[in-house]
Amino acid sequence: MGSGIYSLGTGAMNAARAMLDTTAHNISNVNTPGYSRQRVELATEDGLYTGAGFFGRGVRLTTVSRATNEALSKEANLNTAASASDATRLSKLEQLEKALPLGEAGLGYSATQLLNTFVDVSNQPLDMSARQVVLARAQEWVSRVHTADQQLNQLQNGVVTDLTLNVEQINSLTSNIAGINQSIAALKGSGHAPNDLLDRRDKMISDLNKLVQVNAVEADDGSLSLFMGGGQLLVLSNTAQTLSVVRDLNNSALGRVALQTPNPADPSQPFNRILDSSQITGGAIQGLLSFQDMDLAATRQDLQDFVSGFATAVDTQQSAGLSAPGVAGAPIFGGGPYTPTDITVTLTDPAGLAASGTPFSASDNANARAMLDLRDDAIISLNNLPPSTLTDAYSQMIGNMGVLVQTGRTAASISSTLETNSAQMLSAESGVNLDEEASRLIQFQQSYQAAAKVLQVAQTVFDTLLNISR
Amino acid sequence: MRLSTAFRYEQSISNLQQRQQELSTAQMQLTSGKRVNAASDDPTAAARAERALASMARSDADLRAVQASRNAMTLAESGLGNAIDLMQTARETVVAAGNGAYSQNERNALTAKLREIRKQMVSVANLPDGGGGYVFGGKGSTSAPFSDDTTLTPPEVVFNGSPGQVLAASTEEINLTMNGEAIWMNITRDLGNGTTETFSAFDALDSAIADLESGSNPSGAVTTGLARMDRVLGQFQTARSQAGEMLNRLDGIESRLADGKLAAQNEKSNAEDLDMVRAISEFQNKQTGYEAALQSYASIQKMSLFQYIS
Repeated sequence: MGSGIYSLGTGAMNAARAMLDTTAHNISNVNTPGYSRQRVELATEDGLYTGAGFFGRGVRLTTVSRATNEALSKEANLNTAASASDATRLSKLEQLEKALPLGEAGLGYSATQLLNTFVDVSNQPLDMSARQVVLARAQEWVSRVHTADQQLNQLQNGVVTDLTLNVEQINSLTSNIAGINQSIAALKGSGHAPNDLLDRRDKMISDLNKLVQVNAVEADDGSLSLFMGGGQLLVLSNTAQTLSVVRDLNNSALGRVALQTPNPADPSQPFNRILDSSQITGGAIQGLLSFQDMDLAATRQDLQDFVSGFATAVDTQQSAGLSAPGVAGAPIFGGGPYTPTDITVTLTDPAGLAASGTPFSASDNANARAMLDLRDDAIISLNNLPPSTLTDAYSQMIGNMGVLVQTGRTAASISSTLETNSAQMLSAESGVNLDEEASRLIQFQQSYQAAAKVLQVAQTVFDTLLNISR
Repeated sequence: MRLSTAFRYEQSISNLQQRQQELSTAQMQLTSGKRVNAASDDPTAAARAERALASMARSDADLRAVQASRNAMTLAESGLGNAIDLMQTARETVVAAGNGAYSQNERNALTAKLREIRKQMVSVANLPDGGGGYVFGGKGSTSAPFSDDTTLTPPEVVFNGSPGQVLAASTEEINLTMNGEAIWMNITRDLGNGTTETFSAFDALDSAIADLESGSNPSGAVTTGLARMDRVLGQFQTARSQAGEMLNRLDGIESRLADGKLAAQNEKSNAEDLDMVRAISEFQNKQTGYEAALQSYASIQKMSLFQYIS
C-alpha cells in the first residue's frame, strides 16, 4: 500500500513533466513553419482489484499526438497551388505589359508619326530634308519594334530560367520526401506517430504544391505517394522521379517540363518524356507555362501581325508610286516577311521615297498623299480578325494586354484570398497560440506541484510508520 | 476559433504591407497626375487615350498641310496681283500707242516698254514656291513651267508642266499649286461672229507688239490688243479671287483642326487624367487607414498572457 502512493506520485510527476516539456516544445516552435502543436495523451491506469473494489493506479502516458486535419491540409495545399500559379503568372504579366508602352513611347504612336511625316513630303515633294525625316522616323519605329521584340525574348528566357530553377527545387523536395517516407516507414513499428517528421513531410508537400500541384495517397506503411494533378507519379514510397526542363520540339525558344526515364543503353543520357500540360494543374510551373503558351504567345502574335501589317501596307503603297520617272518605289522595309526580329529599314536614299503618283512629274505628291491615307485604311489584321486601322489596332493591342493583366490580377487576388482562408483554418487547428500555452504552463506547473506534494505526503506517512516501529 | 499566434503576426504584417502598397499607388497617381499609368489600370481608357493621341498628332500634321497651302496661295494671290498690275500698265501703254499724233518711232518706244512687261510677266508666271516647285506649275514641274519656245518665229511662251493642280494632304481639297495652264495659257475671246479665239496672256502682248510695230493699222491693233488684254485681266482677276477664296477656306479649316485637336486633348485627359479632388481624399483615407493599422498593431502586440504571469 505504501509503495502505491509513491508510484502514483511519481507517475503524476512524470505526466506533469511530460506535459510541461510538450508545452515548452510548442512554445519553442511557435514560429516554425509547418509545425503542428502537440499534446500529451493521458489515460488512467487500470484499477487494482481488491476485496474492497478497484483502486485507481494513477495516470499513464499513452502517446504524444499532433493537432492536424487531413481535409484542411489537402484544401490548403490545393489553394496554395492555385495561388502560386496565379501569382507567378501575374508577376510575368506585369513585366509583359511594359513591352507595349502607352502613348508617345508606344509603337502605335511611332507608326502614326511615320505616316504623318509624309505631310511634309507631300507639301514639298522635292525637299530632301522632309524625305530624310521619313526615313529617320522609319528607323525609329523599327528600333522600337526591336526593343519590344527583345523584351518578349527576355521574358521568354526568364520563363525557361524560372522553370529550370523550379524543377530543380521540385527534384530536391521529392527526393527529400522519398527519404522521409523511408524514415517514417521504419518508425512504423514503434506504434507511435513521429510527429515532427510528419510535420516536416507535410511542410515539404506544401512547399512542393507552391511549385506544382500534387495529390498525396498514404500507404499502409505510413509513406505517402505523390501524383501530379494529371495522375503522373512523382514519389512512390522511398523513390522519387526526376523532372527536367527541355526545349519544345516545334519551337526551341519554349521550355517544357519533362520526366526523366532511364536509358538502358546509356545511363548517363536519360530519356526525357515531355509532360502534357494537362498533367500540370497548379503551382508556379503551371503559371509559367500558361504565361508562355497563352499570354506571351498572344502578345507575340499581336506584335507580329501589327508589324507585318503596317510594313506591308507602307511598302505596297511605296511600290505603287514612283521615285523617279518610270521607276517604281523600292521597299522601305526589309527583313523577309517583316518579322519583329528581322525587320530593318533598307531604303537609305531619301530620293528613293516614291512620293509621285504620275510618271510625268517628280514633283507630284499623289503617292505621298496616299501614304497619309493609310492612316485611315484598315491595314492591320490582328489574330485573323477583320482588319482595322493602325491606331485602332494598337489601341486594341493595348486593350487586350490591359485585360490580360487585369484578369490575371483578379484571379491572383481571389486565389490568394482562398489560400489565406484555408491557411487560417488549418493554422486554427494546428498552430500554436501563446496565450493558450501560457495558461497550460500554469496548469501543468500546478499539477507538477500537486504531484510533488503527493510524494512529500508519502514520505511523511512513511516516516510516521518508521517512528512507530522505533 | 483558436488563433495561431504566428499566423496572426503573419497576417498583420501582410495587411500592413498591403496598406503601404495601396498608399504608395495612391501617391504615384497623385504625383503623376494620371489615373491610367499602365493599360491594366483601365484598358478601355488606355485605348481611348491612345486614339485621342493619334488624333492630336494627326491634327498637327494636317495643320502643316494647311500652312503649306496657305503659303502657296498667298504667293499665288500676290503673284496674280503683280500680273494684274503689269497687264494694267500694258493696257495703258497700248491705249497711249493709240494716240493718232504718234509717229512710228514713238510707238516703237512704247512697244519696247511692252516687251519689258512681257519679260516680267514670264517671271511672275514662273513664281517659285520656295521649296523647289512653282506656284503656277500645275500638276508639278521641276523646271520653270513657262518658257520661250525659240524654235518658233517669233518665239512663243509654252507651258511645260502638266495641266491640273497639286493638292495638299488633307481630307478637304486644298491646293499646293494653281493650274498655270488654265490661268495663263487658255484664254478665250468671243469674236462676235460665232467663233472664239484662244490665246495666252503672253500671246496678247506678243500680238499687240507685233501689230503696233508693223504700223499698218495702229488703231485696229489698239482695239484688238485692248480687247484681248481685257480678257486676260478678267481671267487673272477670277484666278486671284479663287486664291483669295482658298485662303478664306484655309482659315476655316485651320480653326476646325484646332477645335478637333482640343477635343482630342479633352478626350485624352478625360480618359487618363486623375480627378484630383477625389484622389486627394482617397489618399487621405488610405493614410488614415495605414495609421490605424500601425496603431492597432502596436497595441495588440503588447497583449499576451505572459505579460501577467511573471
